[in-house]
Amino acid sequence: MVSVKIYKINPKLVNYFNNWILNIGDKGVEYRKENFKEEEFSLKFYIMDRIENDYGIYYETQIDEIIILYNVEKKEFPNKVSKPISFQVYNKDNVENYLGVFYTGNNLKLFLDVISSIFNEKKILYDVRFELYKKKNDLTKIFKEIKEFRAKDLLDDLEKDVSIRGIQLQSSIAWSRYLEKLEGKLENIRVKYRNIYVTISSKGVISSRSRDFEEKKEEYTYNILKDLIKIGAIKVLQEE
Amino acid sequence: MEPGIGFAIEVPVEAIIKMQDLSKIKIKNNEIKFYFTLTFQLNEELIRLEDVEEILDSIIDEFNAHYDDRFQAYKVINYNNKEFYIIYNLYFEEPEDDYYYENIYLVKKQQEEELMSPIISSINIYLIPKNPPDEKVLYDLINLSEEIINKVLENFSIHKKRKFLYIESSQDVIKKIKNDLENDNKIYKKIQIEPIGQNKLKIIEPTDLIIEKLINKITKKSILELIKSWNIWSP
Repeated sequence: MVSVKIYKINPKLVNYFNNWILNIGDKGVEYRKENFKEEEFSLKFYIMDRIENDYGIYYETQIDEIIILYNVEKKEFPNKVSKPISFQVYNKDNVENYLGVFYTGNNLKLFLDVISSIFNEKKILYDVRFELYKKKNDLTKIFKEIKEFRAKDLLDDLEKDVSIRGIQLQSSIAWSRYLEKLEGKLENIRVKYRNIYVTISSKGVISSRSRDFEEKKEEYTYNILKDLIKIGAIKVLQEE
Repeated sequence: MEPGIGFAIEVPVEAIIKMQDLSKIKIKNNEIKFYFTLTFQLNEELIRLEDVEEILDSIIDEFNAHYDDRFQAYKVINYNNKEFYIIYNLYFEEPEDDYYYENIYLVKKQQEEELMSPIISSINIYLIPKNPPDEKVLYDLINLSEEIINKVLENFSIHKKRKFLYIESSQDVIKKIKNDLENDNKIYKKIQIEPIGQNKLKIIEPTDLIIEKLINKITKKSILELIKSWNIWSP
């Protein structure tokens, strides 16, 4: 499963961010020092490749992390490993200054660790949320086949959260019961998009198990973002 | 991406059922039970279990609450010279990983703390009449529910709220009540009824008008008429 978490680059710091990436050389940049017992480790962030594409620039990176291993002789001991993470800076038409971090498992945490360590107090990335609940009617115009949805905070004494799977759920009784009658907050939808299935989460995450998504993740993400922007379902959480 | 699992701090179902048995009103050969549930969705303001419990307990105590002789863990309040059980359930979601912590050990520690005193997303308050004298207890129930709602709104940041009236009786009585409410031109557009099986009705946001109508329908005279009509139509 590949997931992409969407952020918006702070418009005031776009040039600062782009210059920072541009200036990272082959030897990478140290984002933090970490100590384990008496040993000190320099943790680095490497740009392995920059690829200009139709949507902006795609970056392949490696991020150092310390993992603690254990064996009977040595007990706990640290080891430095590098983990791959890629991201795309989008700059095409309305999809401007968005950043999509492609990750599997817990790797997003590492990327955020790099960003928060390097930029410290500067708020370089704004979190992005997809307002699925507010735009639930418009969503059904984009996605004609909703296969799954999850809603929370149902206004009922017995039913609190719900997850439903089926066919064309946007036309189902469950859709109107949970999202209208019980005013549930739409958290996730799983939809057919072109020929693949993708999950879109209100937390600003798009994910899919499809091989096609894995191969063309930058393109799928761009198209879905473009559609969500068109219906006004993007909320940028700006904190100054 | 996996959704968090919901949990509830619950009063045992058996205890609630036994309390509900004490809410029944006997009319001829029939028994009718009434009770209210008040549901509140809390705003996302990170209010934790122990704080919610403390505030709710203090609200309940404002109604001269005392522990019940029979269900010793739960409280009874006096309202308009009648007794009501008042109990609550709390609902929360399993905390999710926080990506901003520095290493996996801190994440785990944080989760353990969250599980000890989780953030509450929803409150249910049950109001169950204890040995009610007659159907007019419904007036007290609706007034009491309003007072409790106001106190909850004063003490918590509430996103949404909803009130439910449950009615339990025999299949015929429930069918008659449902039909009468739905066929009443004055209220049928305003009322939302959900049948739960054949012996129970759930009325969403009952108004004074609906309560008035209900009381008229379930008086001894109406039930007698209902029984008479069964005799006429029975083969």
